[in-house]
Amino acid sequence: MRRSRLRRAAAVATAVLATAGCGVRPTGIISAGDPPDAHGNAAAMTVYLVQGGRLEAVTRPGLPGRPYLAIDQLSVTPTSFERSSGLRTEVHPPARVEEAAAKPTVLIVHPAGPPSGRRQVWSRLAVAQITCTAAAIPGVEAVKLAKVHGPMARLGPLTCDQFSDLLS
Amino acid sequence: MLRLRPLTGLRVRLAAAFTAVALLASVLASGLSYVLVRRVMLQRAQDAVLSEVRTALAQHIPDQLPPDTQEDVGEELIEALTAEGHQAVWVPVPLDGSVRLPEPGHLDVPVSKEFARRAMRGMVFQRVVRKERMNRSRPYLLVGARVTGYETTMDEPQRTTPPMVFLTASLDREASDLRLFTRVLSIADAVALLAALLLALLATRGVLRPVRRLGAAARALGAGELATRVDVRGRDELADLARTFNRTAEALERTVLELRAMEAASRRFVADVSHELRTPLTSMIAMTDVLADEAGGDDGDAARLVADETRRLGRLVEHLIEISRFDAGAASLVLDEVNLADAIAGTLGARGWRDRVTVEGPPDLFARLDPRRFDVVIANLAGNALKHGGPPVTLRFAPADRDGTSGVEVVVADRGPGLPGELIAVVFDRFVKAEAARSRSDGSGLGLSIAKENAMLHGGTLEAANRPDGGAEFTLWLPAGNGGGPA
Repeated sequence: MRRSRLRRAAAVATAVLATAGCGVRPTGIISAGDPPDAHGNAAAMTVYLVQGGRLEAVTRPGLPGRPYLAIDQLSVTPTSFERSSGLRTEVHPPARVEEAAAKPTVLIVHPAGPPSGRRQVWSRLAVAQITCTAAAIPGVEAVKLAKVHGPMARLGPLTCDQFSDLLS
Repeated sequence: MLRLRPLTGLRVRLAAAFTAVALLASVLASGLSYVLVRRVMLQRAQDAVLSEVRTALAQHIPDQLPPDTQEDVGEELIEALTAEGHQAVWVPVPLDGSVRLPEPGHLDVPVSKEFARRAMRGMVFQRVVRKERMNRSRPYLLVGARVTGYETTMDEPQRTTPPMVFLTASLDREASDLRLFTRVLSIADAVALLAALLLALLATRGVLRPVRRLGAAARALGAGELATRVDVRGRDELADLARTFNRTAEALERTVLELRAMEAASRRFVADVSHELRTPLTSMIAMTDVLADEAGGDDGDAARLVADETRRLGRLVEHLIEISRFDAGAASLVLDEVNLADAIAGTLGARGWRDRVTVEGPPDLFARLDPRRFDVVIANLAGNALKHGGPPVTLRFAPADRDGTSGVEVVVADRGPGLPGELIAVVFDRFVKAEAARSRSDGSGLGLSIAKENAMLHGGTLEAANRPDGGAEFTLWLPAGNGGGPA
């Protein structure tokens, strides 16, 4: 009788230990509070779009740690608000910034995708968009095009001043 | 005296209780500390991962996103969150209320639909244990989160909504730390158990040593060493017990000594009286014999009766003197090489019983005995059998070993009514007679007592029993060697 009581106590102790368990136990889904507020620091950027054959500067929000995002943004479809103002972009195929040393003053830009033969890839308007957008990036003075053919390939570093005729 | 005690001994029980308590305490303590440490450890690891995710989301996502940059943001987040043991994946937030799960394979553990649904509303986490082969399992922390407080456009929200992220962090390090902790705790528990056992044994020895001393003293007291006392040490209950024991032993010793003194005095008195009576009795026996011979008629009968009674009184006195010698320890053995067959034949012959007792035994059996005392014993046993038992009386003697000692055995048996049950135990006591009505018999009532004393003086035994088929049987055993008994 005493023995059975002892055995029962041992069983209870074992059960308690088993529920406490060893090692890391799985859990259910636990809330860790509200979602964090988005407050990444990023300066707004200036992107030059085309409005009726002329360049028009628009401001878009930037992303932290992405100084040359403005060049990528040139090939993105303008927002509905920009479109309603008659803004569009000429940069097709998309322009990409060559990975360069830190803080270059001359930005090397090339078209995305495989080399497209001898065809001229970008119109003068598109190049103007690229050059002026790049010039708006702090620290960048000029743009050099790479992997392009035709008369543009022979151009030296471009500055926005060269396209002042397209500026409104 | 050290005896092997069974497992239910006091020492084992005390040690077991001690050890059980120590085991319970150490297991409880280590169990509690294990649970607490595990909670703190996992809490810390979880908090670190959660705050990392929170910080990455808050810092890498601005409150306003340029259009079509979820992928850039997502890749940026994954780069920030991927680390040793961490895997992260980003998923665009669907705006139609549906739930989008990350593609399988990018994370260490799959994400459930419910988890993804709750991750849309707030930051959530879950500990998941992934079973692997070889019965091993790996714990992971799964975290899901998105940001809030961003601005988007009314008509094109899908282009500027920041993505959500899922992250798994391996808890292998915590698990291995816990394993190490468990091992250390088990070792510590084992050491504690050993120490407890050792302490228990030491403590119980401390308690049990006085108990053993008391036990030994009590045994010595029981064996007759009345001067036994125990040392009284300390002021605990055991010391009290020892003191009580000593007082009891003292009282006992005093009483026994008094009794012995009284007994010795009375025995001395008997011996003195017997000695004092012997001389006048000897004269009286001689005188009454002469008177009985000379007297005639009625006077002659009376004189003969007086002569008989006086002779009987003389025998009684002789017996009393004999037994007081035993009591005084003055009886001594005069050993000689004795041929049993001859000695028994002599005894029976001298008393004229040769025809009435059947003797069986080897003719050439020798033993070292006191012939006079042997004669007394045999004569007493045979006489008793003839007087109180029924014929035929047989006397058998043979060599017999007892407890490895070689000896001789003489069995005197009769075919009478046997000894009454209550008499067997006391038949060798003094003045015990078979029938109260025969209190005026010839016997002094001391014969068997003297026979027994003689046997014991030889280092032998004398026992009385009833034969199964009727009649009493007295068995005398004497060592055959060199006497052996107390000289």
